[in-house]
Amino acid sequence: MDDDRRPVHVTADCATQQITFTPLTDEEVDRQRETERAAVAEERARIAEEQRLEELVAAHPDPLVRELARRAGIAAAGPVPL
Amino acid sequence: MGSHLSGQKVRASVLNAETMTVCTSGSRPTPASGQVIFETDTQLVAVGNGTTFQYVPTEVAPPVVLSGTAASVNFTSIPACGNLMVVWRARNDSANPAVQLYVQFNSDGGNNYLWEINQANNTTVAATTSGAATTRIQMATMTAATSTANYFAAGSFTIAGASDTSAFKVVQGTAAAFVTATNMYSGTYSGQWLSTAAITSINITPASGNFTAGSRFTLLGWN
Repeated sequence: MDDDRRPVHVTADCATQQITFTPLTDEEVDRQRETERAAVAEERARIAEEQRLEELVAAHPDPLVRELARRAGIAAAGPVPL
Repeated sequence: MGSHLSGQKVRASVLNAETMTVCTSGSRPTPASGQVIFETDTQLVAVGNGTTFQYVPTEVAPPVVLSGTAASVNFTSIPACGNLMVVWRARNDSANPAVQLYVQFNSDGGNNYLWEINQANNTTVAATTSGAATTRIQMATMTAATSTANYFAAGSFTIAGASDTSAFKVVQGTAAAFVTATNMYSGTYSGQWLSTAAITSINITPASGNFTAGSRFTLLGWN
C-alpha cells in the first residue's frame, strides 16, 4: 500500500500537547483487510437472511401471520440493530 | 478584565481577579473571587469564588480533527482528572452501512470490560450486553461507507471518577448515527472497566476499517 494512503494511528498526548501520526504496519494492514472482509461477508449474510424472512412472510397465505410478522419487525422493518 | 489608567495602583485582590494564575494542583493560591488559575500538572482551569476554586471543563489534549483516515484515535498521558468527557463526530470507511465504535482504557486489551447498550434502529429498540467480560466497550454505532454521502455519527461519553483509584471505572454516553434518510440509530451506551487504576489513556477504534477525514475527537477534563 502506498504510504501516503496508509491509515494511521493518531495519538494526542496531554503531557506534550502534541499530535503524532503512526502509519499502520504491514501486519496491521493485513489484519484490517481481513476484518473488513469478514465484516462485509457478515453484512451480506445479514441482508440475505433478512430478505429470506421477508419473502417467507410475504408468501404466507394467512394475513394474520403476515400482520404479526410486520409487527415483530420481520417484514420491511429495515436493518436489525448492530 | 478591568480597564486601568497608566501608572494606576491596583490592589492585589483586584489584580488576582483579573489575571490568570499559573500554579500546580498542590500550590493553588487562596481563591479570590473571579480569580482564574491554570494548573500545570493537571492541565485544568478553575475559577475562584472567594472560598474555593470551581473547575471548568477544559480541553486537556489537543483536539483530533482528521484530514485523512485513521485506524485509531488515542489520548495519552491524561492527567489526574475527577471527570473526563470525549465529544466526537465520526464516519467509517468500511463497506457497511454502520459499524460499532469501541473504547479501551490504559491500553488494556484483556477481558476486563462489561458493557450494555439500549439502541434504537429506526422504530425498533434493542438492549444488548457484553454478556461477560470482554476486550472492549461499545460506545456507539457509527455511520460507515455505504451510508449517504456527508452523513456522520456523533456522540459523547463521560467517565466520572476517572482518576479515583478506589473503584472500577464506569463510562456512559449517548450517540446517534444517520445512515440514510430512512435508516438511523441512536441510543445510550455504557460500560465498566474492571480496574481501579486511574485512567491515563483512552483508545477509540472502529469495529472494522478506519475513521474518515472529517472525524473529530475532543477530550475534556475537570475535577
